[in-house]
Amino acid sequence: MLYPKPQLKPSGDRALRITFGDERSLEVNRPVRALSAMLESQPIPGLREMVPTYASLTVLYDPDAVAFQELKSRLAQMAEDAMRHQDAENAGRLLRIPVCYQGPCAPDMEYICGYTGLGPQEVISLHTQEAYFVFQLGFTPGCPFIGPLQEQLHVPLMQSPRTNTPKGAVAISVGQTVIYPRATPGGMRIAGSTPVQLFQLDHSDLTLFKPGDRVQFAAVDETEYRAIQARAVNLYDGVEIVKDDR
Amino acid sequence: MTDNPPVTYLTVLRPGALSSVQDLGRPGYQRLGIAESGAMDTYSLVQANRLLGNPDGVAVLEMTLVGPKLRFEREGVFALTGSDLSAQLDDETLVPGRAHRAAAGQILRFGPRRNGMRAYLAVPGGFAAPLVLGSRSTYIYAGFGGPEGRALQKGDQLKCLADPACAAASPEPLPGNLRLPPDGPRVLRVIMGPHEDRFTSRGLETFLNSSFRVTTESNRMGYRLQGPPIEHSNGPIVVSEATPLGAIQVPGQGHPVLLLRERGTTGGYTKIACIVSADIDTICQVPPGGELTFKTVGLEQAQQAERDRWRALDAWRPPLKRGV
Repeated sequence: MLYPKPQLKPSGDRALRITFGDERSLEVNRPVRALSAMLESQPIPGLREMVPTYASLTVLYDPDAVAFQELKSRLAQMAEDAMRHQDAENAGRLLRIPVCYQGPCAPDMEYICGYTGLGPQEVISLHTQEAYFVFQLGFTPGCPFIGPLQEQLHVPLMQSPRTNTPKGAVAISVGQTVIYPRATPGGMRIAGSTPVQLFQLDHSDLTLFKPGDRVQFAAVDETEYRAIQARAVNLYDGVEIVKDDR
Repeated sequence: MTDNPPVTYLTVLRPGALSSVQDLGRPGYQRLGIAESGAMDTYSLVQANRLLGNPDGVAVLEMTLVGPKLRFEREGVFALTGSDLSAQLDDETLVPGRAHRAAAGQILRFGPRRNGMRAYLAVPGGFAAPLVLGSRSTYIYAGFGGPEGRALQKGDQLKCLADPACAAASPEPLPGNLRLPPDGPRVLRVIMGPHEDRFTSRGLETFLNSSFRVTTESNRMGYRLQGPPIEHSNGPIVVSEATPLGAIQVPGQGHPVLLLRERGTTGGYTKIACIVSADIDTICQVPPGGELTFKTVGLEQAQQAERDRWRALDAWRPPLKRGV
């Protein structure tokens, strides 16, 4: 649900959280993106960082440069403007990401089919049929939280997380898809794997995705997956930028 | 300072439990999932640098619980602060909080932990390591920063960015009021929320009136605490949002997790409170088994506490230069 008014609250003594709602939806995320863009074009002195997420934007500030109350009243005004902001839903970047949904690339496909009652082809066509949003990056460098995922694909988290989810795993759970930029522990179900790089320190973008990008997954077979993997050494290798009108 | 060619100063004979190169971290990238990393106890880091006349933010060695064994490859000065891990230079016992001089070939080793959790070793000009996103800090969980993105290994050669023999090392030790206090129960000040309304009043009371112990499942990402379970009113899951430094998450079983320098930058568990900036360094010096309680303070009070702490340090010795 989108709240009638944004809620502003401290999160510790150097962070202020502006929340617009309580769900993972485009409706609630829209003002997060709008406020984020407003703050980028008209920075507030003393504001150090912003962390946009599904339903809130958290700003980190320097209390020696800006007092909490002053920051809060300025942001409250901007946040209300952001809620009135109507953006074109398909503005920004659209990236096409190859995913192999077969064999060793998709260790949890059998579980996903068993749980949802869908066949593998149905899972793949659902996951590739529409462009999703990148709501936030978090967890590890460059790790995107993508959605909202169609309800037919909502599967629960693992009871006990894997100690090692492989790099490139395209994993789903309730409402979202995450792609693991490097091998880390993780409790989501692996529907496929992408050969592309999500994080590169010596690339000026650092991360393949930015909050607010749209993603279209495209199924590739194992042969194609390996071919792309062999040449995907840098960010964007193997990725098609379908649209970029930022 | 970074223009000087790095000079090989130390060889790692034994790495210790977890020794890594750290500075004040790399703020500015949390929206991309990149935690700031950096020294767990920044107060001790800055003290070590000021003892040598270094700028505050140059890279030092952070040593955890079991210290390393290091050989000096040339004559020079160094400073130790933070935890007392029974440092010895050959046969001489060294106490933290002062600068020392070593001759080429001397061995710096550490023994039993006497107090605290993390000791800091500063060298003239700071340790050399590539600047990654504005910092030399090792981000262990992500595998970059520091030497090769990892903790020290046997055989590593550590270089420093100034001539180790000619630094303005202070003969005066750090005054007692700035030193790490002896181990004992710690009271951590917190700002409540942002999810305090997701707990029952009994849950809030448990949080504020119980003592908790730091478990062995504690690292640079965060500390897990053991104590009476904190009761939620409506489950532990929230829509994933930013997790600032010091945020205290309470997952399903009700045991708090304190999120520290290498935490995930977002998270979907309820945050009951956040440790104030002035007490982050304190918690980072509490070893496994250490006891904690929480106490709420107001925002203004918390921000003032942080100013006071650095003012006290500046009164002893002002900063040479901020940043790296």
